[in-house]
Amino acid sequence: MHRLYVRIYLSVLGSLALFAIIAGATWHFFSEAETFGPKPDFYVAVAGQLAPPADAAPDVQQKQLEHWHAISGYDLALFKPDGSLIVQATEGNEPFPIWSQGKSRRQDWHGPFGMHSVQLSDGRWLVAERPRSARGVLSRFGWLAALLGIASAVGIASYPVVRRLTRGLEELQAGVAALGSGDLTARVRIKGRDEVAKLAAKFNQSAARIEKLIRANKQLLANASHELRSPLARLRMGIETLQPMAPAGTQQEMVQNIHELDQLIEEILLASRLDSQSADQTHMEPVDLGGLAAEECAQVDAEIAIPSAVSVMVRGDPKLLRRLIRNLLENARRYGGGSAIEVVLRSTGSGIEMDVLDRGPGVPEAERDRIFQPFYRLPGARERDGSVGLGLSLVQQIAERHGGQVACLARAGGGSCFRLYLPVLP
Amino acid sequence: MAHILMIEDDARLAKLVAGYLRGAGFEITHAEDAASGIAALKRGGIDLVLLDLMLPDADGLDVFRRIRGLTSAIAAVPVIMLTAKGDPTDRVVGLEIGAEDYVSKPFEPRELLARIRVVLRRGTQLAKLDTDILVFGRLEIDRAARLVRLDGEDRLLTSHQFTLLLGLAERAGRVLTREQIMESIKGEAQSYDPALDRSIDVHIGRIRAAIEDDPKQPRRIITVRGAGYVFAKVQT
Repeated sequence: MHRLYVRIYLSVLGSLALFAIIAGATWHFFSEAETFGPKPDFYVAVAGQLAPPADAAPDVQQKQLEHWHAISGYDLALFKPDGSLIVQATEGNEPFPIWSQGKSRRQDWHGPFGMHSVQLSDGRWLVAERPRSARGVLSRFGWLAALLGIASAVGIASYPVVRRLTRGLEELQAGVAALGSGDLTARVRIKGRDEVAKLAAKFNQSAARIEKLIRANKQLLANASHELRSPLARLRMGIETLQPMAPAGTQQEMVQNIHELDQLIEEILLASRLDSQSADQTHMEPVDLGGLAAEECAQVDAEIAIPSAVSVMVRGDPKLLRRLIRNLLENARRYGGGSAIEVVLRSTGSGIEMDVLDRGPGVPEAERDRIFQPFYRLPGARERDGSVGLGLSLVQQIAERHGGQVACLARAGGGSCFRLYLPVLP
Repeated sequence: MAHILMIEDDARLAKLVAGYLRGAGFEITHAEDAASGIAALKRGGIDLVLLDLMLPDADGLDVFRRIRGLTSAIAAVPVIMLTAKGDPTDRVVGLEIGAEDYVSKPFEPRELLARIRVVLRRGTQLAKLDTDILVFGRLEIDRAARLVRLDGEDRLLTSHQFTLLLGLAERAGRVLTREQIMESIKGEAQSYDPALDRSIDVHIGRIRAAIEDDPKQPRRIITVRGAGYVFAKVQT
């Protein structure tokens, strides 16, 4: 019952019911008070004048009644004070409905089921029943039924109105949800000119703008990668053509610098891509973490060990995981003070733990969380080796994207231990 | 002398690459956009196309499809895609639609040369399946001929050593225990030599001497202490 249209509709029905109750009560009150029409005494006096005299012969009384029946269309009957029938004049001479004295609450012109009775001054009862064609409609219950009929008609008719009102809102809500979940092309239909329609139009405008901005951002990212790497590619080729002239050491240094610049570009672009991409856009496949780590270790001459020789398969994006491992190793190489780097993998049952160990100065305890923040550098760390402080932040982003985590710990005997945890293949 | 068509909008890069490849003994034609590239290709005589993924007048993948859509034998010309890492249409896409290989910028000139040589060799041996030659950076493992080449030069291995290397390379990127490596050899070797089991580390040492740039710092066959060996999937 939390849906808006149900609540609006229920309040419409509630107010209708309230209206019906008040209207019924009011009418009842006023009819009890007999505010409308002449007093009952008046009807008694008139009926006494019109009814045949009590001492007249039955056929005279009969004629008189038939006369008035013909004029009014009402079925008429005269009863003795004890309730027995004297004469009657009915449509098709059908028997008058059973009438027992005193069934009517008052001696006036109102009775149940369209019957009216008057007790004449001589004690006889004159009872009239409404003409067949009009019977039942104008009774007291008829009014109540009419009231209920109107109420239900309004109730039924208001349903589609209320529904249409809130359906616009529901469509809008679905559109917002779709946009939020990443469908940039989500738009809503605009119907009518009310506030909901205006809101829908505004939503469509905003969605179009967001779509444009995000597409532009993606385009920029895509082009930036290509545009930044073109001059790098030229540089790299240029160095190669220098070969006979420049000293090998200088060339090696230049190649190394290009490599670092390339890595930097990749990190920056990857960081912004990870920010703008939701996790379900990551391409996941089974990856041998040990194999990836071994390849990356070989690049920096680090030693790798998997003491228990367990399978170290995880589910993930191989490119991102390679980047993660490379960054951890790169970090150890930069800040490990030239000490030997070791990588140890082991299974913890629910997942895989990978330690990247060095014997460098280590990270002060107070800084161990903050080093994973983007662009954060340890106090005193110089801007060197092409680092902008994104490496560890990327490590954390990638680990979390794979349902894992990374922490910096102190290593027994001095140095740092970066511990990565990744859940195993389900 | 093989004739290479380079479709690349970066004229300065193209000039450098052309100079480098000419030095390596290739004939180079450069086209700055897709239209003139395809026109040059139609003139004939092209043995290989170096195709940039981003061109001013077309997407490299579209150009690739247009080349493959040409009638005549020209359509079968081998294509190496030049991409930049992180391009939205990643290198994988290029391979999926049927390009022979890809090189990502900034590329190592020697790697580009190696890939061109491999693709050209494959192109002239059309009967061979692509999978007959495994390529890891500058290293080629020719399964059919049972030969290993580094930078296009043959490296000598014994038959056992080749089988062992192939067993590793076919599962590149996976950590393999000595037992797993033995299994793969047993499956392929004509006769099982029990001495091989004990001397697997010795054989790995010999293979490293043949295929590593520096056998003391191996980058291709990596030792994983406590587990076994990994043959590197990504090599330069």
